[in-house]
Amino acid sequence: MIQFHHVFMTYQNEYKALRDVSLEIDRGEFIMVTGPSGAGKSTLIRLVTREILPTKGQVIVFDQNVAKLKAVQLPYFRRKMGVVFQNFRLLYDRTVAENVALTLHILGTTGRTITREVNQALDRVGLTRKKNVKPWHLSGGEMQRVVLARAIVHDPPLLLADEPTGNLDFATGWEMMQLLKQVTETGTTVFCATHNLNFIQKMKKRTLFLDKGVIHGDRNKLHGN
Amino acid sequence: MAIKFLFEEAFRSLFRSKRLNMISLGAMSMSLMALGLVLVLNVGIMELADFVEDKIEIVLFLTEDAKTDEISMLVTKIQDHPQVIAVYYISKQEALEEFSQDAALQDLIKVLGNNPLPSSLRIQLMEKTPENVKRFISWLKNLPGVSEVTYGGGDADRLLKALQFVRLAVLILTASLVLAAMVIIANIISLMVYAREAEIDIMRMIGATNGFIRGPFLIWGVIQGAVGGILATVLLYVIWYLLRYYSMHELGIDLNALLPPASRDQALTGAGLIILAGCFFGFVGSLVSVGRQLNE
Repeated sequence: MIQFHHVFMTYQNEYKALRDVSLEIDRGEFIMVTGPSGAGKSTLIRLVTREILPTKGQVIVFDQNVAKLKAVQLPYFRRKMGVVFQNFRLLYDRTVAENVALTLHILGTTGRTITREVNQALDRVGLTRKKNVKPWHLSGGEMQRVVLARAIVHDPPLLLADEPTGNLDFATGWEMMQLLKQVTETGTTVFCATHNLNFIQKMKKRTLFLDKGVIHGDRNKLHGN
Repeated sequence: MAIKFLFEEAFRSLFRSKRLNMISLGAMSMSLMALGLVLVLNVGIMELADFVEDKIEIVLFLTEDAKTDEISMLVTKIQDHPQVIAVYYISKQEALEEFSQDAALQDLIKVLGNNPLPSSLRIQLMEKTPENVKRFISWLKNLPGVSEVTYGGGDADRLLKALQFVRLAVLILTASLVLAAMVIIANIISLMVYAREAEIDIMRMIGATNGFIRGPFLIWGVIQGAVGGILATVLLYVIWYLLRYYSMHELGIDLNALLPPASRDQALTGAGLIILAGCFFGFVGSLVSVGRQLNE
């Protein structure tokens, strides 16, 4: 599903975020990437969503070289993935249901299908009761669950989560991790960046250890799941 | 793409950042009002120019010894000229009667004792450009029985030239106002778009096409333009009405006489033009601003 071939990423300020990174993520896999701040975790995710392009090397997502995607293809490419951000990025003037429905509107879904699918997604993250509430009235954990619902409402084959527990306390963060695990059960590939080693230990999933832009270990390959 | 959703989004933006919307609407109406004012002035000046042109007539004074058959031959000849609309004969007696309407001149004529006024022909020309008038006059002067030809002379000439200049000035003013209005509106819309940068970013991450992001902004721009246009038209009407009322009752000047009032059709066309201009500015302004945000 995702392949990195000798990827280098240097930002405009000469900061070397990734150095010679090669990796492969299969369909339906749950993979975690960890490392200290500035290790290059977010850069990995931003390369997959094609927010940025690698300085050198190839990034292949859904059998497509992201560097070769044309501007008109980009929206359709991104519709095949859901993204969960650390800082939520919700629309605060809309209700929870409207935030989740946005994905479906963009996909061109109309009418009752929207209501049905939004209800299903909110049910999956346990927020049905809060669907008519504006995000301001939610706790951090609840906000992150809205973001997750928005990311999975269209059942994308790939879910990217960049520090989904970064703004949450341990218990709430752990709930989030459980929800992500449930998403994999439906066949969705989950790629999750976190600096929280507790979660890494408890999840017992394949984990990439990243430091200063270099992969220092791939736990799946060392110990197996 | 669900059109309904795009309209809902557009209306949502209208009621979201109320202050920015009010500023945008205000600037839009003010620009359009200035444009409307120029439009009104333009129509007034055009009508004034037509009025002045209509008043210009060529007066041909006949020699004292011109005989009746000579005069009628002259009239026929002039009437046959392709540029001539009408020829009126004014006899010595008629000229005197016209002259005598002024009390002061009446006394003057009494002193003189006899009628000093020559008989004349008044001629209406089709095209009253200064060149055309001059060419026609030199043709007239070579005809037999003609003593002198006048056409309001240099005054009319200067007035026509001045009107041409004023028309040009109004045209330049209109063009600059249109440009200024477009720049102001595009910048305000840029502010609106900038305020929603985060939202645009989220939508792009979820997979929204540029068309999907742009749609609500374009609809919003057109609605703002239309509302701005309607506001500008109403304001313009109210201001004109108050001005007319004030000048009539306080100064005793009838503005309608100065600037001929527009007909119902003219007024409706003008209002329609202002509203259409608003929609156009809103549309183009949104297109440019969102395009800039989307790095197109």
